[in-house]
Amino acid sequence: MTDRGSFRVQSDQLRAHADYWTGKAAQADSARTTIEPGVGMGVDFGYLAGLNGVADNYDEWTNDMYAALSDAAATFRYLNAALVSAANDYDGADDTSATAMSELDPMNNVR
Amino acid sequence: MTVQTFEDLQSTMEGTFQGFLDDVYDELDRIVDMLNGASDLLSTAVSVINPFDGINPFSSTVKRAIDKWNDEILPETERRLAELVDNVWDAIGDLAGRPLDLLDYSRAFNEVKAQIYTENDMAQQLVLVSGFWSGRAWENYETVARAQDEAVRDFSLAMDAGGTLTSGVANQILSLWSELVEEFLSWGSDLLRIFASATEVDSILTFETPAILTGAATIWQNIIDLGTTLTNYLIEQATTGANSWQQLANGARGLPQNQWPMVREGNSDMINDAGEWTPQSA
Repeated sequence: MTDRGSFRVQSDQLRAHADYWTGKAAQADSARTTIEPGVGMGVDFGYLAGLNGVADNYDEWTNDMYAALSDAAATFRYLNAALVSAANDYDGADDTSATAMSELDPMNNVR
Repeated sequence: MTVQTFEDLQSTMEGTFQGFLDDVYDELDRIVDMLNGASDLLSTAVSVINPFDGINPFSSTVKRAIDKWNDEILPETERRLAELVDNVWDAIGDLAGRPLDLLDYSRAFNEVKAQIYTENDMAQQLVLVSGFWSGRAWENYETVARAQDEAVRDFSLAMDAGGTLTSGVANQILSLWSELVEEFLSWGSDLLRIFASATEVDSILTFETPAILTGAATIWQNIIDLGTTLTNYLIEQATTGANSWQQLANGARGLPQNQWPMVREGNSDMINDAGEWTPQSA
């Protein structure tokens, strides 16, 4: 692995920036917990709402949003890992510093 | 009157119904007593002084009043009351729901909306990163980061729309519940007033049976109108409104297709390829 030592300071900044995505992932997890009680609860709109499509649409939307937040958190964690891995790779600290593609790629395969 | 939960509504209507029925039957008993009293008086008078009751105007009035009561007023009143009780409970069932829970869900959506997205947050991050990173890897990362930020913004907009729609239904249900109770109480007091006006035997003959029917029909129509109001509101919300549940459910609004955007493999590989990096000069 080529040593690109002159990038050391800047790669540290990149690692710091990678933490931004860790924070976003935590936000997505927290949001998921926050909306969870209402997911799929279209029945609470009442009988007439069931007849007129509100309940079904609500259930579909909330389930989609719940799944989207899970995918979002996974994507954000992937970006964190990818940036840290790339910074490590750029530094060329050692052969194991970069996370293997075989490990990174599945993190991004959120669907 | 505050009705905030379906249990409140049931309890209020049960209490209202029971009180109303008690009052109605008190009035009916009073009228029956009045007619019985008149009949007893007539029997006594006839046995003593008048064998020709057919030509006695008082006898004729009492007999016609009793007949009208037994054949017309009482059965029709009881039939209408039973029908009304059934109809009102059906209407309550139609208007059911858990609006306070819906308001909780709405608050959750709004909370997430406020927490998850901060305008320009990502833009500021990218300005910082651009200060130490350039090249193809950076360009790919910047594109990916902006796409993710847009998805967060769209998700936040979806939460805003869903929160508004959810609280809208909750408030509509609560409002109609209150109207239902008010409508019923109003009609009940009108009906009791009609019965209370029957204080003389004569008044039974001119008793406004149609007024009972009209009153029952009116309250029932008003209750139907409440259900229709809610139905129209729900249809508007579900499908036809500018901001409908259908648009949210199929991903036409908010997060496109309701799916979180993946990082494309090509972008991903480029970001991870250190050979494509160009550190900025310090």
